[in-house]
Amino acid sequence: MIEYFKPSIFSTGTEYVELRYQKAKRTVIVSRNSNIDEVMVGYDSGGSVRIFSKTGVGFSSFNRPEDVNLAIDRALEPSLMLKNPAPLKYALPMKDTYIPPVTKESIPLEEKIGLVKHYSDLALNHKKVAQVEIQFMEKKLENYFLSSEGHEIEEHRLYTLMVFSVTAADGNLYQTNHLTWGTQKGFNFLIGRESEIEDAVKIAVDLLRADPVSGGIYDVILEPTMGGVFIHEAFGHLAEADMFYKNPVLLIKMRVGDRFGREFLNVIDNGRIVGEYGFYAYDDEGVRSLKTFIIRNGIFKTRLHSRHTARILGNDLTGNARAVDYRFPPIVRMSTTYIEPGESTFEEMLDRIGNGLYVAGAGGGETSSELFTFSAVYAREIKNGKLGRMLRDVRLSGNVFETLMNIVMVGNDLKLQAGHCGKMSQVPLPVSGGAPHILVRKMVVGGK
Amino acid sequence: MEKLFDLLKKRGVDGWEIFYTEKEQYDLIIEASETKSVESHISRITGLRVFYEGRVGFSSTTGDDYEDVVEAAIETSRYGREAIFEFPGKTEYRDPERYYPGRWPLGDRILEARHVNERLKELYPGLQIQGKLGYEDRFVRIVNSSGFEGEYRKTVYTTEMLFMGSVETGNLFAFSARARADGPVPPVEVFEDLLKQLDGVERRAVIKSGRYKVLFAPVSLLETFVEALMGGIYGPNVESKATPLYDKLGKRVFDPGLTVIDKANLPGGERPFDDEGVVTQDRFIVKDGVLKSFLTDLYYARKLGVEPSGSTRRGGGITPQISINNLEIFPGDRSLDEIIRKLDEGIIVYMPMGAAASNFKQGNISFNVTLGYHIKDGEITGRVVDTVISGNIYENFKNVLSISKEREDLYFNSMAFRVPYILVDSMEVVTKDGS
Repeated sequence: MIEYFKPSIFSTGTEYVELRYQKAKRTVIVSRNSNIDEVMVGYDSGGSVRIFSKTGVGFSSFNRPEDVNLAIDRALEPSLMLKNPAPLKYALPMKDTYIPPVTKESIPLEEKIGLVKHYSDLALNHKKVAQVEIQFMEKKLENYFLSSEGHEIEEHRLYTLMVFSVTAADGNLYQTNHLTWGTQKGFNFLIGRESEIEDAVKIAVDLLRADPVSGGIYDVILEPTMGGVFIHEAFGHLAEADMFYKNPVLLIKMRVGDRFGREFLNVIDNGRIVGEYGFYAYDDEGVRSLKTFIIRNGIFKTRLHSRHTARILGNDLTGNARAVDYRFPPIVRMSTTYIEPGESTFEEMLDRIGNGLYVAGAGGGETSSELFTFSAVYAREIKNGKLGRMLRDVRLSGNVFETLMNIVMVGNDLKLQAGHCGKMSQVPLPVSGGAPHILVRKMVVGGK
Repeated sequence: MEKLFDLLKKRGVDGWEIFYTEKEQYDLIIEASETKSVESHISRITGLRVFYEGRVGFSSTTGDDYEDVVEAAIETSRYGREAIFEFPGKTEYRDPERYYPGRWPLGDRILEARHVNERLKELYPGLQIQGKLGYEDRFVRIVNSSGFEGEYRKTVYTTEMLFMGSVETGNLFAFSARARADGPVPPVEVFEDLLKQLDGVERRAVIKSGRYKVLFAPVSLLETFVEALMGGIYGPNVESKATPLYDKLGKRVFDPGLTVIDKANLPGGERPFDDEGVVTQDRFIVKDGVLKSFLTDLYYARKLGVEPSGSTRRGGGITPQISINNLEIFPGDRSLDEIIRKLDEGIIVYMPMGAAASNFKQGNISFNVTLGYHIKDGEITGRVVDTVISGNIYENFKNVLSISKEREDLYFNSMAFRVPYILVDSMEVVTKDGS
């Protein structure tokens, strides 16, 4: 593919032209209760060109390889009407091919269906379970990247994902719990998850008897998936330089060198954990992925960058320019983002908190600049350092800077979790994230 | 497509449906109040659904690899859902002209974008605009083995705008988007709508936690009440009895003043048939507070023994998904101004945050207020911050206090909405200011 497209990108005479082309084969299985509700295999090929002219940026996507020159015209001409050039930080033009052996994996459809049915039947064994939904997705991807600076990169990936969701019902009360397993290690990663499913079903059923939490201000211990969502959604997105590089107020708030947490707080974005759902060898600007300390010893160290934001803010590249697929231009995104484990055990945290809440299971959330709000699957009361009754309808919200400073203990039990991230209409982007248990003082907890 | 017909004949499937769409899109992107870039897209996709040995298979492609697509559709049918439904047969449908390409030159868009960018800078220097001024030409064709053959071409001009940044009372987001087929919605109209939401943003209101009346503005209503209602009437949830509404068809579930319609045609969201070839029509979801219909595709309509909703949608190569066409909520008889003036105490919410994480199956709605104000004795006292509001649509919308005469047209995710302001009673409010 690289040879096919090469002549086109040198034809424009503009400052910088890059071209991405992707071939994808996607398998999707959806089961509802004991039925396989949807099965599909789809083929998706297409590319895009991005042109940085002296006056602005043009982007155009296409499906048929023979449309590449049309796409170049459609990107170039309008970019000449703008008056906002977008300079780029220099990136070493890489020539590389990265094809992990797992991408050759070929599991029969029957085996994938069998696993989905097995997990579904397992969950349906419980009489209070009203609905079990499982979505399986496998995406085999060939990525090609070339540029007028001389990049020539071919990278293959195999994404495998299963999302399990169970709803327990009792009269007019419905409680849902879910699990997500995502990987670039292949299908076997999904096998042997029975005990996790049984635990998840038990939580959904137990929630039917749980009381709603009373809204108020609590000290909380966040369970690792909840801590992971907090650090990705509330802080990670703020560290993406395109969120603030032209916003004077946020630029002051996100000043490198400022203290954001206590001495023991380290937050990392690491695109190089092979096999993680958030792994990639090269980002969508042809920059090699990196391990980046965003916060080190409590101090804000590094923003996450594209080539453009790195140039504007005068920082080093971090390899975080990613696009959901060829239809979108790359924007600054995370890879695998997590709080580095500390030394505290869970028991030590219970001792220290005294009274508060244990908040577990990320139910989704949203952020608005430094404000965040997340729902949890459940909470448990903590009284005198002991875990007590289960509570439902738990929602956390607050200001990320205050919350980071209020992290007073970091556990030693890091757990990473795959997920899909959305930003500026670009969803679903494969990422991973996580945290150990963390103890946070004074969080706003809303009910329902 | 002829090649695909030939391959299907050769393989001898029991039934088939071909969905083909192509799109051209051309957007001016505004980033941080600058006309940042231009994005264009030329795309196409073919989806094939087959009935084979009593089951349904599906495949799709963006290319011409039809042999692979036919084989994949047949292979997936071995495990797919039972073919208990039929594709729609030959049908007459109305398709008024909605194809008006090329009515928004890039030069005009750049000037209009600069105008609103400069105005916001003058009025609120801490805020910036993110947005999209664009249009899309879309062609859709569906042909199936039962005799349906339909196609349409339409243009959608879209104006999307998000205010984001800081004012004295803290950070905020305010979003609106509108669309039309016959020409652009002037950006200044959307801009003025958003500006109105900032009246009173300089002052902060300090309120105590407790129970408050809440006035939902249109965007907040869509992200809370409408989302929860859609989950409540979603066919698969009804079939699993995983919604409180599964046995409520024909029963009163909301205030008698509340009427919700799935509309075939609202500006930007018009189409003559849905993505399974079912002709679109206006359909009551809730009429005078009584539940009138569920959301289904052909398959779930047969399972539930109801008429298909005629409102499915397909994205990038996926199977038809159960959705709505467009949505309208009937207006009330009081002006927004009057509702606010007569409000003893409450909170108006323009922009919620995190509502999607609510337990919608239960009907719960819970969100943080990104942009909203405290109202006391008919006057806005100031902006509320660090505030979480919670409730349940089957409780709080059973006795609605007021619905405004005024409605707003909005457009998200290829769907158009016409929605009023709605005031409800007694929602739980938790604030950081005081318990």
